[in-house]
Amino acid sequence: MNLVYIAPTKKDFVIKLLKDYFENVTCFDSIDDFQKSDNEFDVAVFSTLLGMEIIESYIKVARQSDKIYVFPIFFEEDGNFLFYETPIAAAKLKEQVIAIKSLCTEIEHHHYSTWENRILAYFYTRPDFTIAPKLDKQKPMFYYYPLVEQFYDGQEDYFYWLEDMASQNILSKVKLVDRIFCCPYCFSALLKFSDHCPNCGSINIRNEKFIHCFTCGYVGPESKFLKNERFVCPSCKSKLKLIGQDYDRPLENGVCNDCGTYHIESKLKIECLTCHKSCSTEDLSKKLIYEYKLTEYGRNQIRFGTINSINLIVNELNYLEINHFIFNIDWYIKIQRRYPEDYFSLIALKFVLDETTSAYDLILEFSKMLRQLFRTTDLCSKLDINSLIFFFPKSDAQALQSIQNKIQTFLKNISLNKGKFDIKIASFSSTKENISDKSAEELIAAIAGQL
Amino acid sequence: MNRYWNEILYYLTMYWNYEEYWKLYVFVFPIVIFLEIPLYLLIITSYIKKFWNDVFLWSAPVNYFPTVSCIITCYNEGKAILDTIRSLVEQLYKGNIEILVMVDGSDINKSTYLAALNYANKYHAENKYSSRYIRVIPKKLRGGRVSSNNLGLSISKGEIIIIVDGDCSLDNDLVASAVRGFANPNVVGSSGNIRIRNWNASLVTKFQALEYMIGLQLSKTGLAELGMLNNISGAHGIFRKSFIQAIGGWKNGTAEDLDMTTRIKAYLKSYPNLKIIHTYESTMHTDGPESWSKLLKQRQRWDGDLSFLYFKRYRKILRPKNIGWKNLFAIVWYDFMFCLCVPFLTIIYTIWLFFKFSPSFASTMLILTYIYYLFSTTALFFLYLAFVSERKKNDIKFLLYLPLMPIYQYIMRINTAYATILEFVLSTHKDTSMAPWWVIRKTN
Ligand SMILES: [Zn+2]
Ligand SMILES: [Zn+2]
Ligand SMILES: [Zn+2]
Repeated sequence: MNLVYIAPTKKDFVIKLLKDYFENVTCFDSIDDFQKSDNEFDVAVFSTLLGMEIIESYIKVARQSDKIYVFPIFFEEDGNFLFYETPIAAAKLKEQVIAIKSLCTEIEHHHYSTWENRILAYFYTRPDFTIAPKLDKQKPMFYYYPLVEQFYDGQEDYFYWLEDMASQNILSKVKLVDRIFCCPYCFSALLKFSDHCPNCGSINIRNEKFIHCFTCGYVGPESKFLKNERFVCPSCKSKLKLIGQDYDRPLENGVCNDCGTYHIESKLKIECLTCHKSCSTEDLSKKLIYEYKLTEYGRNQIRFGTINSINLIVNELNYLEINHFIFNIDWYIKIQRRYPEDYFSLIALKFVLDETTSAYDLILEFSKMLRQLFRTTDLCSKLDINSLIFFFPKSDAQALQSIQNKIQTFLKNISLNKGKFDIKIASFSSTKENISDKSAEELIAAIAGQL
Repeated sequence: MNRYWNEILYYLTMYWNYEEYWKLYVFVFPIVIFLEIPLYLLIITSYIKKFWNDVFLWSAPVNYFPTVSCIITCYNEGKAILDTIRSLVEQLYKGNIEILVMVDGSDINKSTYLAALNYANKYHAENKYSSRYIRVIPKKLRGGRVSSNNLGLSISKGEIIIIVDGDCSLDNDLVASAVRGFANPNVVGSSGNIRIRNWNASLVTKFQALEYMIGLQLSKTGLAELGMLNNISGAHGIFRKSFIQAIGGWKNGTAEDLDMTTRIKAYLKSYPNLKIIHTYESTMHTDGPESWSKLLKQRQRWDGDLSFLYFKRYRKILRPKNIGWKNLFAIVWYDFMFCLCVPFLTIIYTIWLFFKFSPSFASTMLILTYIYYLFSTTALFFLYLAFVSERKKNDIKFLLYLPLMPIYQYIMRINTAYATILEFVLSTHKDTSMAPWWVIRKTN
C-alpha cells in the first residue's frame, strides 16, 4: 500500500513507524508538492505542523473533487495519529484504510456527481461516524456542520438536506444539541428584537405610570393627572387623593409618542439581520440542531443508489400521510356538496431528475417558491418517491391556473441557468358536476394517471 | 292621643305669645348658653381669623422637603397592612419617605409580617432608585404602640416623624401637607385630619363620618387656630424628631398620645416660641365600627379612658403652672365640661322635664331642643364645608343625614354617661400599655 506523509520537518521516528505498516512511504514537504505528484496513493497523513487552515482547504478541494472525495486522510501531531479529532494507534491505521477501501468497492459502480451523494458515500465508507454541529457565532444559525461544509461549497442552507435525510430515515438523529429561534423566512438565527407600539408600530414609545380615575373611568399617564403636585383627573376634574378609593394604578404602562395611544404590553417585533424581514414572536421558527448518523436503511439506499431529495419540499409545507390526505379531501368533497361555492383544486407534480445535476439546489429553490404560493390551509402529500400532490381548498380553476403559471415560469427560469431538471404537472379543479359521484381516492388515482 | 298632639301643637304655636315664654330659656338652654354657644362662637371667630390670614397674609411658597419617617404600628391586619404601605408609597411628596413598618408580636402576627416583607422586597426590586424606602421591622414581643414608636424613633432617619395606624390609608398629599407646617422651625408637633373610610357601609358609619367632620376636624382646626389644641392623636400625629428625642420619646401607659401632648404643652410653657398646630389638609382614612353595638362599645371604652385620665391620673398634672391657663381652660371646658358633664346634664334635664311637666310640654321641649341642634349642626356643617372640607363634592352628600344627627348625638351622650358611671362604679379601667387607644374621638 502506498502512503504519503506530508510534513514540513521530517520526523524519522514517524517515518519509521509508518514504514512498519505500509510498504511504500513517500514524503513531501508541502501540499503543493503532493498535488503536483503523479503517483497514486492509498492514504495520506498530514502533519499538523503544516497548519490546519492549509490542510483544511486542501481537504475541501479533495472532498469536492470528482475522484478523491472518499480518500482516507489522517493527521499526525507530535508523533500521534488522529482520525479527525480521535486518536488512532499506528497499528490501526492500516486496518482503517483497508476497511475504507473495501467499502469503497461496494459503491464504486455508482456515479456520485452531487455533493449530497458524495457525502453519503463518504459516510458509507466511514461507519460509526457522526455528523456533529459546531458552534460559531458568525454563522446565521449559530451552528454549522464542519464535515458537511467540506463537501458543500454553496451559499444555501444545507440544514434542509440533513432534515430531509433524517425524515427519509437515511440519517438518524443521535443527539439533540440545541434548540434555537430563527427567522421563519430564511431560518437565520441572527435576529434583532425591539418593542413597538401595538397600534401604529412606532418604536418611539415610553413607559409611564398610569392612573385610573374611579369617578369617570378615565385612564391616562400620571403626567396628565399631575397638577401642582396633586392628581387632578384631566377628564372630570375631580381631585384624586386616596389610592384604592379615588383612583388606582391600572396595568397599562406604555405610551406611544407618535400616535398617542396607551398600551399594556408593547408589541415585540423581530427583524431578521439576514433577510431583513420582520416578524412577531408567534411567527418565529424553532430549529432543532442535532447530531446525525447514517442508518442501516441509509446504508442500503446508498449501496443501491436510490436516494432522492423530494422530501425537501414536503418538509416546509403542510405534509400529511397519503391516508390522512385522502381523508381530508373526502371531508372537503362532502362540504362542497352542501355548499357548492366551496371549490377546491389539486395539483400533482412529478420530478424528473438527471443524476448529473445537483438536484438539491434546484429542489431547494423550488420548495422556496412553493412556500410563497402556499397558504396555511393548503396541504401536501406524496404519491410515490418522485411525485407530490397538493390540495388547495377554496381555489377554483382560475386560481389553479395562476399557480400552474408560476410553476411553469419557475421551470423556464431554472432550466436556463442550471442543468436538466423537469417537472410534470397534472391538475384537477372541482366544479358542481365533477365531484358529485367521486371519492377522493378516485380523484387522486385519476390525477396520478395523467403524470 | 289626639289631645297630646294638639297640646304639642298648641305649645309650639300659640303658647309663646301669651305665657311665661321666658321659661323657655331657663328650661331648654342652660347647657346651651354656658357651654355650647361660646364654643361655637369661638370656632366661628377662629375661622374669621383663619380666613383673614389665608386671604390677606401672603405666605411665601415653602421650599422645604426634609426626609420623612413614617412609623406604622401593625398587629394582625394581615394583607390590609398593604393598603397603608401602598398609600405611603403613593405620596406625591418631593422628598424622601422612609416607611417603618413595625410588626408588633411578629411571631403571632406572621401573616402581617410576611405580607409587608414581600411587598417591600418586590417594591425595591422593581424600583431601584425610589425615594420611598420601606423597612419592615419585626418585634417579637408585643410591646404595644409606645415601644413601636420609640424603636421607630431611634432607628428613623427622617427629620419629621409621622405616626400612622396600621389599618388605615393616607391621602397622597398627606406627607406634603404635613411637612409644610414644619417649614416654620418653631412648630414641633401637629395633629392631622381623620376621616371615616367606610362611610358607605352603614347608617352608623355615615353618622360617624359626619361626627368626624364637624366634631373633630372643624373644632380642632378652630382650637388650633386659637392655640388651644387639646391632643395630637396617636392614630395620626406629626412630630419634629429632634424635639421628640429631646423630651425622651413616648411614655408607657394609657393614652400615650395625650401624655405626649401634655408633656409638649408643659415644655411649650417654658419656650413660648414653640407651638403645636393642626394640619387639617393632612388626611388619613380609617374604618369605623359598622354596627350600633360595636360603636357603643368602642365609645364606652374611649369615654372610660377619658374619665380615667382626668379623674385619676391627670388630677395633679392639670394645673395652670404645668400647662398654662389657656390650655387648662381648654381642657376643663372642652374635655371635662363638654365631653364628660354635658351627657349627665342632658339625662338629668330630660328626666326633670318629664317629672315636672306634662308629657306634652316635655315633648315640646325635646322637639325644640332637636330643632336647635339641627340648626346649629347644619350651621357648623356649612362652616366645615366652606372652610375645611377638602372633598366638598363628596361631603355635601351628608346633608341628607343631618336631620338625624341630633338623635345620634343624643344616643351618644347617654352612652357616655353610662360609660362614665361604669368607670366610677366598677373601676373597669386598667392602666396598661396594652390598652388599645388607637383612635381617640373626644380627646382628639
Ligand atoms: Zn403608536
Ligand atoms: Zn375622572
Ligand atoms: Zn430572515
